[in-house]
Amino acid sequence: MVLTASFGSYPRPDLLREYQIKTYGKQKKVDHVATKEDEQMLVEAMKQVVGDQTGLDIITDGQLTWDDFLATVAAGWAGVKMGGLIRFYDNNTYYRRPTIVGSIENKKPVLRENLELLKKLNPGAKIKAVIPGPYTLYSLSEDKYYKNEAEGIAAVAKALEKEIKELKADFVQIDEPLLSYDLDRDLFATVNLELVKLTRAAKGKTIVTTYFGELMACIKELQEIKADYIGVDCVSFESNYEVLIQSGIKNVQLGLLDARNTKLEDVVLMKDQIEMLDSDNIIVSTNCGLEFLPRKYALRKIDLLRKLKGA
Amino acid sequence: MAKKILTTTVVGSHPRNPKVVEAARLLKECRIKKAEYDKLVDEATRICIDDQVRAGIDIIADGEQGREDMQVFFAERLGGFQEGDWVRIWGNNYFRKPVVADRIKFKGPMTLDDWKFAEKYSKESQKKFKRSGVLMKQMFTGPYTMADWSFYESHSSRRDLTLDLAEALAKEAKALDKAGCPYIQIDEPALCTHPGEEEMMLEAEAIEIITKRLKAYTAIHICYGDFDMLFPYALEFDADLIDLEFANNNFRTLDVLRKYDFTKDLGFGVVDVHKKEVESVAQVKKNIMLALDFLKPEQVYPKPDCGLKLLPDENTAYLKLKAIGEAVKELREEL
Repeated sequence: MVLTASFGSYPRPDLLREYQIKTYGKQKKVDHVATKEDEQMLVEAMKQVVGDQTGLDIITDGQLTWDDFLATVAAGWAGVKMGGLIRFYDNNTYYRRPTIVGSIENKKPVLRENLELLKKLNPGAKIKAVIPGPYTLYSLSEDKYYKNEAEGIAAVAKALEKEIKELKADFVQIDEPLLSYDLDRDLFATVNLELVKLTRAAKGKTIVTTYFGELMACIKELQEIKADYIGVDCVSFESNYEVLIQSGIKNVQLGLLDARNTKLEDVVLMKDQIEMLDSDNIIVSTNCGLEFLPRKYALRKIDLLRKLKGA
Repeated sequence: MAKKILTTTVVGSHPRNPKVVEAARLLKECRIKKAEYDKLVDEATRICIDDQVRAGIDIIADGEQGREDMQVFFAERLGGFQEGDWVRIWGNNYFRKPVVADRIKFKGPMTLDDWKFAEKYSKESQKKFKRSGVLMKQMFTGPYTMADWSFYESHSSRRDLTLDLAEALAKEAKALDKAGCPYIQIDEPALCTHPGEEEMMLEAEAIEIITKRLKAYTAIHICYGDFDMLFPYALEFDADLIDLEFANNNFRTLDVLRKYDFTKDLGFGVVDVHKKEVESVAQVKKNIMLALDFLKPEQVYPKPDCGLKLLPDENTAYLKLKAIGEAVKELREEL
């Protein structure tokens, strides 16, 4: 069965974007507590985001309050301070780099609230929660505390596990772009062990997803990951689709549409690609979050996704 | 251009004058006339020029007061682009990322009038502050960055778009060169985004399209990235000077440069544009000396890390430039 899904992030609706700029300037403070007005604005924005995803099988909350790409969850952790701006992989986007200065502790999970709001507004689609993976989040950070990378990754994973346990969603997507972008093989055993813990802690079906990178470099490792689905970006490297086919991985979140460019994909070609995978367990999606596109183009990509429903 | 030691320069932008920012907003809403906006840009440009001249800078710029940002300004003036829409860069900061929907067409010089205005005024400014020999440069965004920061629908690849843009920007450079602009700078902040030899070779090809046969001194400004991937390729770029940030990364980039025989001139970032605290003259002198450890003083062009637009106000920008000007004045006497 082919399901259509939003990947994760979504362009902020105008009303929310304008409100956030007017109220908080360039960036809200790390310790900011949402006001009543913030909450009302988020409800209005989320309604629009849910409406935009109408017709998809699996929808997300659009990560509308995530100020930092993937690093948002760490902002409130004990032992972590948010540092200067760093480029987010090969994009013209930046995040505040978390600096680990002490023992990490996640005292207050932050992802549940927006997910609950999404469920309240959801007209009947399946819900997907998105969370950064421990390997990627650790590598996006600067570690001044833990003795070695394995220890740091485990500490980040423990904090993420607390988030995951609170997420009541049909699907939980763990974003690990680094697995394909720049995998350190010496660390994979540690990473895989932590991913097993996280997928076990999840209440819904799990997706461990890669993006931005070349699949050739990590396909053997991806075959070892115990998740319900493996996410693959078939856009950033043309060879990725072929590598996927040859790998024999069948349960796939297939990123066929480019969320980093406005050009529209050929529906017939995408249907062929889905068919050639010869699998009953495919989720088709964009290669990464739609927030890299302005809303009007994100809507066009969603229109294409709808055409792949049940392909 | 006469070669002197420790020629001081700037990257290009100044903090955008609040009156210009407001006027730009009103202009977009059709609430003021273009002439009113232009007048405010001219006034703000004069202030930028005066600040650079009195700070002791040798090669100055117009402060880019008329540019909304370094991408949109050019996208609005080249054929092939469609107006973009908001895309988030970080926090609550967005830019209107343009869409390339057709082959690129050069419709006419985009920065020439601004350069002519600034160059003419710089002569008055030099008289006012009793200086001479100050040169006016001009900057434009490079083809690699223009391509990387755009969506594209009509080109077969980013490479195709980059080279198409290079052909158009070569006409811009030629127009400036013909008018007598002595220093042309190509801004390529996106260059360190995508690692790999192929990317550097693409940039080399694109730069050569623009700079070949120019009489002007040429520079490439690159910032915020992994400079390890830039070398040794950048040493082969067809430009006289490579302009980089150093202060922001605590001069780690020098370790990269030391690995090679650095044959070009170096735009040497000695003040941090991300910090509002103004560096002391002593600190700037110390910073400059770090490059003189392995480069000749004729090769080193002290300047801020990047454009000054990120600083909170004009005065902070002026004080940072003044620290550079005074540091170089003292060093020229001491060396």
